[in-house]
Amino acid sequence: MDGFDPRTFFTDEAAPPAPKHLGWKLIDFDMDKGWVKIGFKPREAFLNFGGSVQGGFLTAMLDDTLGPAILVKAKRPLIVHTIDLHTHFLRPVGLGDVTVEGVCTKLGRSVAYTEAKLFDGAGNLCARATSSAMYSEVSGAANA
Amino acid sequence: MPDAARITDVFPEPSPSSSTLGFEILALDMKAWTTRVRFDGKPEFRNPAGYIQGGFLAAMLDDTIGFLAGMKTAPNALPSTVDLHTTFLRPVRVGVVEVAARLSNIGRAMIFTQATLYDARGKEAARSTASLTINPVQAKPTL
Repeated sequence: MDGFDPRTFFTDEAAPPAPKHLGWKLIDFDMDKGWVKIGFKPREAFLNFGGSVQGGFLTAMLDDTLGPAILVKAKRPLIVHTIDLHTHFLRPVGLGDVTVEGVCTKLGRSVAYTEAKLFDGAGNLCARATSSAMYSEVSGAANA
Repeated sequence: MPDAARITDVFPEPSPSSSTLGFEILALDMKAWTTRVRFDGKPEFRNPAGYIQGGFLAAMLDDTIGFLAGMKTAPNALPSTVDLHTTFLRPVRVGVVEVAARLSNIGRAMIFTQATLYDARGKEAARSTASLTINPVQAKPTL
């Protein structure tokens, strides 16, 4: 399937509101492994009382990496519905660039299983997530 | 004085993350340790399907859980979320969102919680369980 190129599919212009709000940017990917590396830019508006990025916003960043990992593994556009998302928070994250690496561990017939790790600017592992998602074909684009 | 009015004793002003999510307290019971909070599902939180992205729903659940646990541990300690496990039951459209949370177990070192998120029509749309550690306050939280 040569038709699907993450570089032209995941453009800044085509980004939906949620990833745009999080400062989403595709950094790297590996289609055979179903692996993606995404950059995010936390805003001051995401901070909690401790002055760290609120955990839910980190969860949003992890969620916005896991979906693309599924598309990269499937090598085609899909509609992804997250079933569950379990996040562990290992250390606080301040303002500054964040990168998330996500991998689609298994692409089943209707359910995809994914894992992601979130790193701060210094490269510290700060959060981890595992997730399952149901997926369906984009109508009219099943063979894209 | 209703318990909800005591929010400003602990949180004089909403945190930036709460403001972003449109946090508005509807009810607080500091005996049963339950709360109900309203949020604003904004257009900028939409995913490619046009629904509120699940992570932002998780942020609303986390904000409610963190607030309720913070009311419990104040003034000498602050809670930190260790893990948050969210199940997404149905998609949520842009609009009013409500979250009900309760502290199910309150220990000396840990708090365990449950929260449910409802869409604008009152349908159950997501559920979270979370565990939090209780950390002594070292410095005054910055606002």
